[in-house]
Amino acid sequence: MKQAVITETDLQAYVDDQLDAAGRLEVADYLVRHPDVAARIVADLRLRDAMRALAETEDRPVPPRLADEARRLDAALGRRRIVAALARALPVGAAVGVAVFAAATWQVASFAPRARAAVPALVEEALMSKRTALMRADMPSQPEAAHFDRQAVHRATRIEVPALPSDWRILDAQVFPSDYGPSLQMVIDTGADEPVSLFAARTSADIPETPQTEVVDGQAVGFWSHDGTAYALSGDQPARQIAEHAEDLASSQDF
Amino acid sequence: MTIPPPRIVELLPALMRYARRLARDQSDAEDLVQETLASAYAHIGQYQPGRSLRVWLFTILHNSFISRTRHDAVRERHRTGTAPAAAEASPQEHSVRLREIAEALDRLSPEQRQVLHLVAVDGLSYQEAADAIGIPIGTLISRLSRARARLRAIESGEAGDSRPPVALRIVES
Repeated sequence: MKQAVITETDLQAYVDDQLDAAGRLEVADYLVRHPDVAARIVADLRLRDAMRALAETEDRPVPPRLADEARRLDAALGRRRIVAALARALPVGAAVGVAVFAAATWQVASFAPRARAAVPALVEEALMSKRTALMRADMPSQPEAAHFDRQAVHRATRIEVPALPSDWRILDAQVFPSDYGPSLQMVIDTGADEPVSLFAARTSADIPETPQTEVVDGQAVGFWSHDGTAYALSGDQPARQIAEHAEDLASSQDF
Repeated sequence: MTIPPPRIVELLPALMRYARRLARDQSDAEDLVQETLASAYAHIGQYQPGRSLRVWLFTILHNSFISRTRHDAVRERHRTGTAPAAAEASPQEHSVRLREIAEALDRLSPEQRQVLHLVAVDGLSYQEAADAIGIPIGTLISRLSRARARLRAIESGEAGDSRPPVALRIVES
């Protein structure tokens, strides 16, 4: 019987666990017959394990400034996903509106200087500090109500934040200035499953007042409008769940 | 159904480890990660959805480290009598054995430390690791092989041995 040819690449891949079961077996068979190579491989495995142990002993708590920065990046990535999903999810009739809606966020996401300059520095600064305050609120033990001032957000942005169910907790909220008015993005812990993102922007786009839900790339997006503000709720939950949440939030605004 | 991407916050420990292995100093590593996150934020438009977030961030971290090393080299030339930054010590926390490994790792070239870390500690696939550093996968594997041969040599006291160790020869059975 012809033996499989074992290369240095196979041996490295064995150490790094990059082979499938059949591949591992071939290498293991080879090692059984070649004790000298086997000894070398065991030495490599030992080094690998030592490196892992070393990395663990060197672990230090992640400094808060890095955690803040990471959350900021997470929120920005989430925003991109929502905007991309929205642009495809909304019905053709609202296409122009979506373009405006999307442009508003895209511009901010890519830091168009024009959009930034359009907002009085004072407002921007106020919103920034609010954002920072909200970030600090991202700790399990602190009640959301003490940190998220929906009146202040409304005064600054004219965006009305829907009343949230009492067991929901705002993890992150950011306001972005744009030529089309400020937009708001919140990441909310619903208590039950994965967090949801709620996005809101002032827009004249023709978006229905009754929530609709579309699934784009496996992600459900529920969207509706109320009083000149468009809302989009999205998350990794099943579409049915997102649709329900969107209904609840939209109906809370009718009072 | 798409798998939800990991959150950056969850990738922080892995980023810190990688940065520490490259920078060999805790506070330098923190600065490097901070720089990486800021750079990712500024270039968020370059992230292609569906691509591995981890590989994307590791790539940025790698590039930040490279450019930082260049700056440092320039700065270093204008300094006098500065000892090279040694690995920070917290020896009492490490067993003797691990300290030996740490010392052996410090004697590898940065390129060798890097590939070993990505693959052996962080568990990236060869393709992901090659992407993160921007080298062909064949180069990655030969670098790994050389790094390990060098570590073994250091371990067995042949540290001075600088001849290229086991190349990618084919082992016939």
